[in-house]
Amino acid sequence: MNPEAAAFTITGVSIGYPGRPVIDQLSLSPLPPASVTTLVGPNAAGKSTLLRGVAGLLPARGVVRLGDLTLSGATRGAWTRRVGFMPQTLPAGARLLALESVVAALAASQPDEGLSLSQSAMRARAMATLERLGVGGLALEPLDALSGGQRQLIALAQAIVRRPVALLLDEPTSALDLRHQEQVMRVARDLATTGMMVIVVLHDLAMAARWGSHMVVLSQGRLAAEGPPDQVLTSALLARVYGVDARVERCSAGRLQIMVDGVIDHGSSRSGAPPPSLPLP
Amino acid sequence: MNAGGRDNLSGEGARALALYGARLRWRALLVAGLGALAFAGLLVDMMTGPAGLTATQIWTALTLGDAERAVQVIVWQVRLPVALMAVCVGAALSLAGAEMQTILDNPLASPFTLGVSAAASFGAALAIILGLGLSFAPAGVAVSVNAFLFAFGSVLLLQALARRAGGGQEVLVLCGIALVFTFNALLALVQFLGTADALQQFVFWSMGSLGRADLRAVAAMSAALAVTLPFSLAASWRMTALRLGSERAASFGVNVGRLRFLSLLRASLLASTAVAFVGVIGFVGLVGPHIARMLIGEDHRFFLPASALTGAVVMSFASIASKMAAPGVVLPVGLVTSLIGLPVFLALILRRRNP
Repeated sequence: MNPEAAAFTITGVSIGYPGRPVIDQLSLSPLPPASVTTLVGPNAAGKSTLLRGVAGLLPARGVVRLGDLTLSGATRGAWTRRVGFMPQTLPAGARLLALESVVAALAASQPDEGLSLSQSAMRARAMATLERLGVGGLALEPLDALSGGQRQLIALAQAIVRRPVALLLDEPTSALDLRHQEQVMRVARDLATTGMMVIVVLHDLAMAARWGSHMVVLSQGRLAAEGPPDQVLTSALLARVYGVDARVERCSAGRLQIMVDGVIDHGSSRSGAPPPSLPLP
Repeated sequence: MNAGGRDNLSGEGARALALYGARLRWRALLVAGLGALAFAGLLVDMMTGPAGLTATQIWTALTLGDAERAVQVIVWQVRLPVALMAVCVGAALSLAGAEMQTILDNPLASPFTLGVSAAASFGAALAIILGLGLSFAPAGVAVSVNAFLFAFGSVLLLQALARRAGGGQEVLVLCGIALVFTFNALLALVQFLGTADALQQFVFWSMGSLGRADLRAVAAMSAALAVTLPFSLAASWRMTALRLGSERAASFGVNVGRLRFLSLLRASLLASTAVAFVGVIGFVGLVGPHIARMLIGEDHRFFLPASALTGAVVMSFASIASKMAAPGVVLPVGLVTSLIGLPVFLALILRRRNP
C-alpha cells in the first residue's frame, strides 16, 4: 500500500448525535498526504465531532474516502487499521505498563482484521514504536506513574502502533506545558514527513499556523476557510469566525502570531462570543 | 516507516522486552500460586467441621475406600459439596466483579451493584413467602429457579433500558441503581405480606450460606463457569484495551457496545447462578478483583483468571472461618465474607489514598 496515493476526501458529510447534527453537509478539498493538517475553530464549531465521525466513532453520512477505502463501505477493523485516532487524554487509574498498553492497542482487534502477529511480534512492534517516539525508556513504567507529556507520547504510540495511513489527534497538547507541547507537535510533524497524514485539532491558532501546512477552519459545523495558514488566517476571518478584533503579524522569527485587541460586539446572541465583562468592584 | 519488515530495536529496547517477558512469566507463576492456594483452601475446608474427622478418614471416604457409612455421608454430602461450592462461587462472583469493574470503568462495581442480588432476593421471596414460582420447577429448587430467573431477567431489563437511553456506562450504573431500589421496594412489599415463619426462612436464605449446596448445585455452578470463562479469556485483550478509554478502544477496532453487552451477560449468568444456590454473598465480587489487580495488574489475560482464583481463595477461607468461629456452629458464610470483606476493603481504599 502506497501512502502517497492515499488522499483523504470528505464530501457532503453530516455528523452528529441523534437529533443534533453538528457537522452539516461539509465538503473539504482533498487533504494532502504526508503533511500536517490543522483543524481549528471556536468552541462548539464541530472540530472534535468531525474528527470522531471521520475516525468511525460517530455515525456519519456522506462520503469519507481514504485511498480506495470508504468509511461507509469498510469494516470497523479495516477502517480503524488505516485511521488512527487519539482522544484528548488517557484516563487515569488503569494498572498497566506503558508497553502493555501499546501491545493492547495492537492486540485488541486481532485477528479479525487480517493483521495477525504472534504475541512476541506484537511486543517487538510495540517496543519499536515506543523507541521511535523516543520513550523506549518508559516501556516498563506504570501508566499512572507518568507525567502528562509522557502519557501523551504513550497515547500517541498506541495510536500509531497499528501503522495507520492517517492519524487523527484531538487537541493533543491541551493538557501540556510548553516543552511537552513542542515535543508532541514535533513528533506529529516527524510522522508526517515519513508519509503519514496527520490531522490535528488545535485551539491555539499560532501553534496551528506553525506546525500545519494546511489549515481547515470550522465555524458552527460549516467550513469557514481552508488552505495554507498564512492565507487563511486574516483579521477578517478572525472577526467573522471568532468575533474578535485581532491582528495577524509575523514575529521576528517569521512565524504568524495572533494579537487580539478586543471583542467585536455584534449586538446579537452569537454563540461563540464571551459574555459581557462584569463591572469592577 | 518500516511497513512490512522487522522491527529494529536498540539494545535497551531488547533488554526491556526481555524484562517484560520475565514479568509475564512471574505473573503466570502468581496465577499458578493462587491456584495452588485455592486448592489448599479446598482441602483445609474439607477437613474442617464440627464432626472432627481425620485427614485419613476423609481420604478413605473420598477414594471410595472402606470408610464408615456416617463418614461417607458427611464427606460426600456435606464436606465435599460445601468446599467445592465455596471455590466455585468465589470464582464466579469474583470473575463477574472483575468483568463488571472493567466494562463499567468503576472500581466499585460488583455483581450486586446493578440490582442482581436485589432481583434475586425478590424472586426468592416470592417463592419462600408467597409460594409463587414456576409450576414445573420441583419443590426443592423452586427458590433457586426463581432467584436465578429474576436475577438474570433484571440484567436483561437493565441492558434494554440502557440501550434505549443510548447507554454508556453511566446510564448502565444509573439504571442499575434504579433497579436496586425498585426490587428492594417490591421485596419490602412481599415481606409486609408474609407470615412470621416465612419471613424467618427468607432472612436465613438472604444471609447466604454454603450449607444448602449439594453436588448438583456444584455441577450447575461449575457448568456456568465452564461456559463463561473461555469467552472471558477470549475477550481479554479487548477488555485490557477498554481500560484505556472506550473511545480509544473503539479506535483500535473494538466493538465496545458488543463487548459490554456480552461481558455483562457473562457476569450476570455467573452472579445469578451463584445467588440462586447460596443466597447473597457480598464483597467477594468486590474484593477479589481488587486483590488480583494489586498482585498482577490489569493485563486481562492474567487479571481475569487471577480474579477468579482470588475469589476462590477468599471464599474458601471464609468457609473455613465460618466453621471455626464458634465451636459446633456453622455461621452463614455471607456474614463472614462481609465482616472480613469490609475491613479489607477499607484498608484497600485507605492505602490507595496514601500511596
